[in-house]
Amino acid sequence: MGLTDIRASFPALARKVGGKKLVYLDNACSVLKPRPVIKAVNHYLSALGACAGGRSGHALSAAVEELCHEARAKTAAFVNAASASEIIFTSNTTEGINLAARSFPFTKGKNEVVVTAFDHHSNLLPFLEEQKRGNLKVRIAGLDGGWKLDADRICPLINSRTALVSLPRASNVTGQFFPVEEVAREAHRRGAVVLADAAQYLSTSREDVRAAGIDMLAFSGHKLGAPPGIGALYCRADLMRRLKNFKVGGGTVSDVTLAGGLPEAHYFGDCRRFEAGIQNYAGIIGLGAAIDFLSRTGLGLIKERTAALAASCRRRLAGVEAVELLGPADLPGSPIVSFSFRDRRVFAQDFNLFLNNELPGHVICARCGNHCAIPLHRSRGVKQSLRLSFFVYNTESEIRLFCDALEGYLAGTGGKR
Amino acid sequence: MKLEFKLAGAPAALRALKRSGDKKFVLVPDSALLAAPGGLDLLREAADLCIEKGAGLSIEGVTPCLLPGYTRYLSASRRSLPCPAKERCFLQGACAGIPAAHSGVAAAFKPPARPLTDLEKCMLAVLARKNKITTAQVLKLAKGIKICASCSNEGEVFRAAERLIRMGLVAKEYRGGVYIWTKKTG
Repeated sequence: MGLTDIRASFPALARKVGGKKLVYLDNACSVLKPRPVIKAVNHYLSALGACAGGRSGHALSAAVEELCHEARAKTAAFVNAASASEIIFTSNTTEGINLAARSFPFTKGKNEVVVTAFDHHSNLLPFLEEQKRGNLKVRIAGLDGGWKLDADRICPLINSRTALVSLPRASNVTGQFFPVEEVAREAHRRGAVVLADAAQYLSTSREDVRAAGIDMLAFSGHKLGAPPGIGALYCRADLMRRLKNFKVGGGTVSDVTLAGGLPEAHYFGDCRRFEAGIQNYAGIIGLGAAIDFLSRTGLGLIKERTAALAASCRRRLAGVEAVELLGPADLPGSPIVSFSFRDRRVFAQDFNLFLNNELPGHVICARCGNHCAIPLHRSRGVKQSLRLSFFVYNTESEIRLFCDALEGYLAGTGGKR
Repeated sequence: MKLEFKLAGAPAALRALKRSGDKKFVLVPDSALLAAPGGLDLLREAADLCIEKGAGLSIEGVTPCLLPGYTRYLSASRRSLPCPAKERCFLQGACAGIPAAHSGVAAAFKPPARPLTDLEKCMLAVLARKNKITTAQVLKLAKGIKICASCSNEGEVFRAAERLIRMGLVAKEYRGGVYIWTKKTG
C-alpha cells in the first residue's frame, strides 16, 4: 500500500480544523481510525447491535458472537498466543494491568514486584495500591537517573521473593525498547512471571509472546486504530487458571448451584471468567478490523516508516540548541521523539498552544506535559516535555513543518520569556 | 385553581396563592412577566408556594430554559414555534420550542449553557484572583485552588480555557512567545 492510499484510509487526516490542515503527531496517545475499522464498527452498530453468544441464542446474537470470536482469534495470532482463550478483552492497557495486579496469586514468601522508573502510571499505580493493601512489595529499577535501562539494571532486583516483573515493552516518553527477553530469562530462572505493558509497542512492532518469554501482555486497541474502550490482556493459559477473580457477574460462570440453600458460583477456567457483563462488542469487532488493517499494511513497513521519520526528526532537533532530546542517544526503531526546553523560562504549554493556534495554514497536534510518567520526569529533572510520535501516515514534510514552527516560535520569544 | 399570573398583578396573585387552600394549581404566566427583569423570580416564588403547600402544580407556557429545576412542573404548550437556538441548546429533546402564545417575547427564551466543569470553574477562579496573566502564572495560581485536583496534566487546564474562550468568558492573546489570559467582564 502506497503512502497516498494509506493516508486516504484515515478520513480524519483530510479534515480541516478552523480552515487549517491537520498535522497529527500524537500517535503514541492514540492512532487515528482507518476506514475498515469505522466500517466494521458501523456494521455492528447499524446492522447488529445485539449481545453476543451464550446469553441470547437468536440470529443477531449468533452473528455478533462469530465476529467476536474471529476478533479474539486474530488478537491471539497478532501476539502469537497459543490459543484464543488466552486473550481476555479489557477496556484498555490500564485495566489489563489492574486485572493482573489484583488477581495475581501473590504468596507470603513470593510477593515482590519489580517495575521501572520508565513506567507509565498505569504500570506503576496498580502495584503501589496493592502494596498499600499489604499484598506485595514494589521494587523500582532505574529511579537513580540515566536514560539507559538495560537488563543489568533490572535483573539485580529480581530474587527468589520476586513474583512478578512488570515492565514496558517501550517507553511512552522516550520510545526506547526494553530488554524483555533478557529480563524474562532471569525472572523465569527465579520462578517469577513477566508482565509486559505493550501499549507503545504493538502499533509498530511485531510481538511474539512465546518467543519473548512474556507470560502476560497488556495493550490498548485505540493505539492500533481500534475504537477507544477496548484492549486485551494476553495471559498464558496455565497462569490464567491460577489468577484470582477480578470482576465477576454475568458471563463468568458455568453454573451457580444451591448448596445448603446458598448460591455457590462455579467459574469458567478461561478468559470468560474475566469478562463480566455485557461486553464492548463494537470495540472488539473494531479491534479485529484494526489488526486486519495493520496486517494488510504490513508491520514491517509501518516500523520502517515510523522509525525513519522519528530518526529524521531527532536529527533535525539535535541541531536546535534550545531543546534537549530525552532518552538515550541511540534509539533504533523508536517511533517517538520527546524533548524539553533548556531554558526553564520557555513554557512547553505555551509552545503547544502556539502549535494549535498561531500557524497560518496548519494545526499541529503534539503532546505536551508529563505523559502520565511523572516519576520519570521528576527523577530526570524534567518538568515538562513535548512528545512527537509517528505512525505510518506521517510524512517528512510534516516534520519540516513542525521544525519550522519551533524555529519560528523560538525566534518570536525574543528572549523575553 | 387556575391562576393567570400577570406581571401587573403578580403581588396580588402571590397573596391569593398564600391564602388558597386548593390542592392543585395551574399557573399561566403572561408574556410580559416572562420577559420582565425579575419576572421569573416572581414565577419561581409562586411555584415554591404551591410546592411547599404540597399541592399539585402545573405551569403552562414556560420552557425548561426559563425555569431550570422546575422541569417536572412544566406542561407542554399545545402549539410551539421552533426555537432558533435549538442546535446550541443544552436541553436538546426536553423542549418542544417557544410556546406560540409567547412569540412576541421570543428573545426571552435563551438556550442555557451546560454547567461549567470543575476545571473551567478553576480557570475562572484563577483569573478572578489575578487577571491578564501568563500561562505559567495561571498554573502556579491553579495549584492553590482546591476546586479540583485534575490539573496534574497541565494541558487540561488550557483545554478548559479554550472552551471558556468559545463561551466568550475568557480571552487569550499571544505576545512574544507567551500567552496572556484574561477574564472578560460584562
